[in-house]
Amino acid sequence: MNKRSKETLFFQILRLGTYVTVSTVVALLAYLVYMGSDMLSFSFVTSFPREGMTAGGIYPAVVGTLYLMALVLLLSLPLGVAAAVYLSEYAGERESRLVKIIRIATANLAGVPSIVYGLLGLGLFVLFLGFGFSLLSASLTLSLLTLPVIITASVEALKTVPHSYREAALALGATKWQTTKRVVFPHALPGILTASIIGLSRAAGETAPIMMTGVAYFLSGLPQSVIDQFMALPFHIFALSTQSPNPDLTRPIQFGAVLVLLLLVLSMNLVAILLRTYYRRRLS
Amino acid sequence: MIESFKKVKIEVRALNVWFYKKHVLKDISMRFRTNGVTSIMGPSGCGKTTLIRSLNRMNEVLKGSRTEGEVLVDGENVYDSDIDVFELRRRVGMVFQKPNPFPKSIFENVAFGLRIQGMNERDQLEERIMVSLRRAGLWDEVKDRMDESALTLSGGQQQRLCIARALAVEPEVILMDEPTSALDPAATARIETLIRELAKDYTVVIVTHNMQQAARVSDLTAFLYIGELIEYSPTPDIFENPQNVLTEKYITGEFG
Amino acid sequence: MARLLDPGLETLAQMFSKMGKLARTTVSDALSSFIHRKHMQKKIKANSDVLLELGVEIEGKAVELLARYQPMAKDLRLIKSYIKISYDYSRLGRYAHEITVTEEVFEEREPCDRTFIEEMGSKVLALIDTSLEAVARMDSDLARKLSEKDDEVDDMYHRYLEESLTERKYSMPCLVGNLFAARHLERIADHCVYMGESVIYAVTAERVVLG
Repeated sequence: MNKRSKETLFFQILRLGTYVTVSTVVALLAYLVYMGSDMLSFSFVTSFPREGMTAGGIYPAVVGTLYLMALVLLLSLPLGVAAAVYLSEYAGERESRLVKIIRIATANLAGVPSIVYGLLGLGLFVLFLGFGFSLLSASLTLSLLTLPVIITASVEALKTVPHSYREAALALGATKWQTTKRVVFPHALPGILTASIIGLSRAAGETAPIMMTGVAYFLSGLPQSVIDQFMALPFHIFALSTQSPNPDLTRPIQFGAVLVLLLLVLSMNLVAILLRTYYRRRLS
Repeated sequence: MIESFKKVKIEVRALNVWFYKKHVLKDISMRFRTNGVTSIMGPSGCGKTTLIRSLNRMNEVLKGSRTEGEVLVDGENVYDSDIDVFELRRRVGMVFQKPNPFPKSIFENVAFGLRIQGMNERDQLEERIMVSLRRAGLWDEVKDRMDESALTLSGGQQQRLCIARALAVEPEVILMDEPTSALDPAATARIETLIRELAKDYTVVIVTHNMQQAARVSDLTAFLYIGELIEYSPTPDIFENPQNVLTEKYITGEFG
Repeated sequence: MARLLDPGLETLAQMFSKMGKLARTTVSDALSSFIHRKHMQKKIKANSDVLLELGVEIEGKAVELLARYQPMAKDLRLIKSYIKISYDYSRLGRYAHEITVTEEVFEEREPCDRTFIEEMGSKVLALIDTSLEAVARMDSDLARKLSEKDDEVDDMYHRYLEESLTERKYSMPCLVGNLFAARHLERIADHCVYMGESVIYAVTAERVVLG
């Protein structure tokens, strides 16, 4: 087989692989849309489930997920970014054992299965600290899950800031803090934001941790404070699939819920992309 | 070697610098005249960059550096523990080999040094920025696009911007680490002319591996070789009749 | 380490050596013509013109090397000395020509005693040989000796001048012809000393005036 044919062959194989992957995803999406789009409506998203969840909407689940996301954002973003800035800009000086351990630990924690976090959350927040099954316990747990992701990605983003910028700032008499605040951080911001939002959208879909820390099968009202329990989309979908008294009636609601969750995640990612593009353009 | 100057701006006494185990600068003692251009030349790895970075304590930014000896600016040792290193870096400014403007607008680049001092009034800033850009020979080219990104400028313009940025904080000394080695000949010539201009009001110290540049631009030239100061004379003397055999060999191209 | 400048310096040195030799033979031929009435004016003139051309060539080459390679230190001084010495060589040719012109102008059928010119001439030729050697080897010590020898030539010249004022042995044309020739020789000797000064500058960077 001559060079040209080999070239073409590999190209075709790769193209085939791409098509298979993409078409699988597209097929899945198409199926979901087909099965669930009928359910999508304003009232679906804003009304409570009725009659043993065989009818009605998914309002409490949507709200619960949104509350969770807000809390996780509030808890993990500042902390994660601060840790990343420390690891990247300040700890580099004296690479002590401790710092080395922290770095390795952070990298590895990102890969820990989410159920392990769930167990941790149960033991630490629910039981030991006594927060009980609540939004608080669940969001704290999900924050722990998201932190390593944010930290690792933010450190990467900070690392890509050219060292020459820091040198230029320092040579003008800036302190390290001024340099970080005025030069390094703004430049890394797109990367940090993107990473955070992607981390967040993953947390939106986590089921196991919230099952062990506070999500409820059914609540007739919305959570009034952080120590209340809550409903959430991922668990709601699970519940609808496995605990339903009447599968035929709940199936359309299931698919509707799945679509809503998907749309939520997709729009978060879209925001991430838009923000990244906006900041990229500003920087160049 | 040069013993007497009318006015000494910087005096280096028995300066030794190590990076981890490597002894990069060996017992350097020399004086830099107030105003005028002093160039430091030598083959790669001779320690010339380390030497000028010792003058504004920028070696501390790199890992593993250790410095012994004294660097006196206007008679005060800058390595004393009660010296404000940030103020030092304002007085002793630096321009780097590869132009490194911030990814900000032209205005904000030059304003940076002023803002970190606490100056934030737009009028004050505009005034100082214009003066600096004028001095750097860039004003006319950028006055109508101060809010555009600095990265849209050409290499030579970026380097002049970096010079303006350094000038904005009104330094007394300007250190330049191979300021034109990343630029084309036309841009290089422009900056060399600028350097001669600046020499009237500032103490300029240039590191260069381009001998001809040292010959063109400086009043005094020092030759460094493997961390040691070999010869230090007025430029015409060192290039017409070097006293040290090593200097002669370097100048006549017998080793790079 | 071979440098880009080296082949250029090599070429220059060769052109130089060629010019030096030609200058020497031209002076020697001119002297011979003058003393033995050989009427070699045409040939000497031709040589003198060649020397002028060589001088121009050498200068051109030297400037080219300066422009292209920015030589420094000893290389720079060497090239500068080449330029100066090539001028001195061309002057030698010019004075040789003047000697043959003197021969023509002051020609007569009467016998004329040229022994003095012969003596002075051989001294000057020896001086030329010494300076050619000093240049070829860039020997500054040898170059310093040139000034003594030039002093000897100067003494001879002044002696002859004095003698001529009182001597009535020969006719006017003979006397005046000899005087002019002696003058030209004295100038040739001076140029040899200048060459020595250039050699010293090239080697030691000292700017001296010898004698």
